Amino acid sequence: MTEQKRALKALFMAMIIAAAATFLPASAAHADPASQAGTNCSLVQLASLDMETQPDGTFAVPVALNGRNVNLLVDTGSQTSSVSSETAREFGLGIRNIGRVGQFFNGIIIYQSATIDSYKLGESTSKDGGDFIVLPDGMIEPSVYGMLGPDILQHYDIEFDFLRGKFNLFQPAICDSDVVYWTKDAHAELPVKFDGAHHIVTTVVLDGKPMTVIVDSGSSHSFMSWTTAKQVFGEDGKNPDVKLLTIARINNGRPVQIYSHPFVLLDFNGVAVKNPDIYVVADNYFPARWRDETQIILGLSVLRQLHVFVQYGKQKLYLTAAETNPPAIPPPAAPGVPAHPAGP
Amino acid sequence: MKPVLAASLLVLLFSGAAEADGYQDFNLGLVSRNRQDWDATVKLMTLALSEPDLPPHLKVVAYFDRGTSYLGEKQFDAAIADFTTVIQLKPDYIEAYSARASAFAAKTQFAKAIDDITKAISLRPVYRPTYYQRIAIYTATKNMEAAIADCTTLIKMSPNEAMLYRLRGTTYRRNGNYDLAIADEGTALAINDQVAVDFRERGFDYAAKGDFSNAVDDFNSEIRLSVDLTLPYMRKGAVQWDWGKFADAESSFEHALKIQPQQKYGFLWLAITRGKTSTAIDSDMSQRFSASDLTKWPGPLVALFLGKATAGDVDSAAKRADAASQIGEICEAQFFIAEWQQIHQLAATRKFQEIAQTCADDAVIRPAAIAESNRPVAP
Repeated sequence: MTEQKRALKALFMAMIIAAAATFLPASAAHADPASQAGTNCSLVQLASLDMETQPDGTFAVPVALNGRNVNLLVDTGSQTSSVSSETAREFGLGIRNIGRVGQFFNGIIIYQSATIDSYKLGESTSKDGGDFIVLPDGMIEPSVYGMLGPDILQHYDIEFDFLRGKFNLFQPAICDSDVVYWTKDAHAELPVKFDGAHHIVTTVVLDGKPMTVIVDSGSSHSFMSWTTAKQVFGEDGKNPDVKLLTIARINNGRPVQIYSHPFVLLDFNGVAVKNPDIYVVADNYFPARWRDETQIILGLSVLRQLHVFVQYGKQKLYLTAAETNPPAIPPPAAPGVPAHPAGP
Repeated sequence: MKPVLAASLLVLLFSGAAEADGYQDFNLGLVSRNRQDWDATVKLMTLALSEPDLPPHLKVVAYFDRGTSYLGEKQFDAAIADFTTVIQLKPDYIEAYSARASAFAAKTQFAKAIDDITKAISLRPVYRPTYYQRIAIYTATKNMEAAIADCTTLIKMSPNEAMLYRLRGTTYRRNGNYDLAIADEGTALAINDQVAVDFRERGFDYAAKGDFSNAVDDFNSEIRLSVDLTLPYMRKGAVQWDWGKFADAESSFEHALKIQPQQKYGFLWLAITRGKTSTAIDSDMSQRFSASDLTKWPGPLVALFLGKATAGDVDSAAKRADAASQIGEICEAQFFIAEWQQIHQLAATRKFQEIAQTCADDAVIRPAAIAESNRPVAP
């Protein structure tokens, strides 16, 4: 079977699964599509969504919520998908107080949820909904209606192509394949693990020190706590190169004193970002669990310089520079599926 | 292709490279924008926009962030031009209308600001911060009925949110509707009676309508809920002073100064209260303030009461203030000079009624000046 035919077959299977998912209860709809898709190793793109870049560098993608097209931020760092309070009011959703179920950076407590009947990403995937958490008023900008979290994203393999402004969803890989289809340039491959909230956790090397990081596409900044800065880099608050940059109300919460640190090189197993913009902030702004499990929240200040592909199922992270040379022969595009974009 | 091995082939992504193209300039511009380094953001986004290879999907944000940076640098015309470009490129971009409204408001073009905010509200009627923005402009332009109407819209949207009743309450107060303000603050307290600020706001309203007893009760509640804060004692003391209960006021200001011994306004209020009770200022008071403390406002007033400056010095200092603070400082200077003249039995240069007229409506001094003008003149 040719690559193209395999891709077509897999696409057909994906469409059947997607169509069926519309009529299945939430638990079935969330079942791993790969488990029903046979043994095809080709990349099967399920959706290619336009990134709507926000003023701080985060990005939203179009999602049909309860049949209505809105923009949701893509946030691999949240716990659950969410809607803003404004969206809950606008959609007439019943808001339930469910006790403290989570916390965003900077002490933003989550204690409400609402039920979404359905959501749809792109043209080819439609899912029954479920419980979305409700964000406090004014936490996100008015053009954005909520956040797409790991509870949904984990059912796909996902690609961040920041340069071309595309967020691509793929059928989860079930075997090793040529994931980095967009270039033949050097790439990095890192094993990842997922914590209880399906956060993407991996190890990188910052200025020669191995560090545990969470890949957080919902954070415009990258953060390290003062404790980590002290333990790993010996920062005692007296280094003149560590400077107070600004005080910002992150997540519309308390004012946060943000310090810069002159880090030199962040190495993702071969692909490296020079002078990574990682802020140092007080420990208490981190959600409690993150303080124990991660040393850096890797946000878009770093990620935007990369082209990122996450295989949730295979627990792998592939990275290249954001700008790369295209492959000599572009991969074939299946009819009805957006072609992989050509390189610059 | 196999992944590269660590250290064998590093792909270095140069942040900060001078020869960076549109995408790199844009990313650096984002970093600068998030650091609130407005000057750098303007330069980098201008560079990015001039690059032919800036991806088209990033142009709207590049213009928006440059506009925000111009706003941060108070270059309002440039900001308006960029936000207008954003709106042309993306007519449903709510944030651009709100941002342009801020620039128009800064230029005191309030009608245009209201038009833009109204457009933003029409695009997302449930988004509360946009109403707050319009309420602020209605309030600044003294269109209080419209401000109150927006508050009422918000309350209908979220009838169980105490802070919205507080917002309408303070708006009622600015419109002189003290009873309606007190009713709204009462509703806020019925929802949650552990919020100090709601007692404080209601205390202001009781004081404004001359109900000093209830005002003091509310400031006592504020004190109970605010651990070791100076200002609640100051507020209570000021109301007791207006009420003519000078011994109680003295006690309140002393409490404030125990918490924060170098509170200059606390010292000033204590000084004029002791003038009423014929008690001398403690001898150690002058040791609390260094020479540098006495240069910055209200330092010159403190210097007057410590015998280290003349009324003329204070007058001159107030008149040297920048435009934004001059009205407030002149009001304070006139009031405290008049009090100082009373204490020292000097001929008054101004009557308290006149002084009250020079003060802004919401100046702390204004009710005190009115209270003084209503007191019987000492024989």
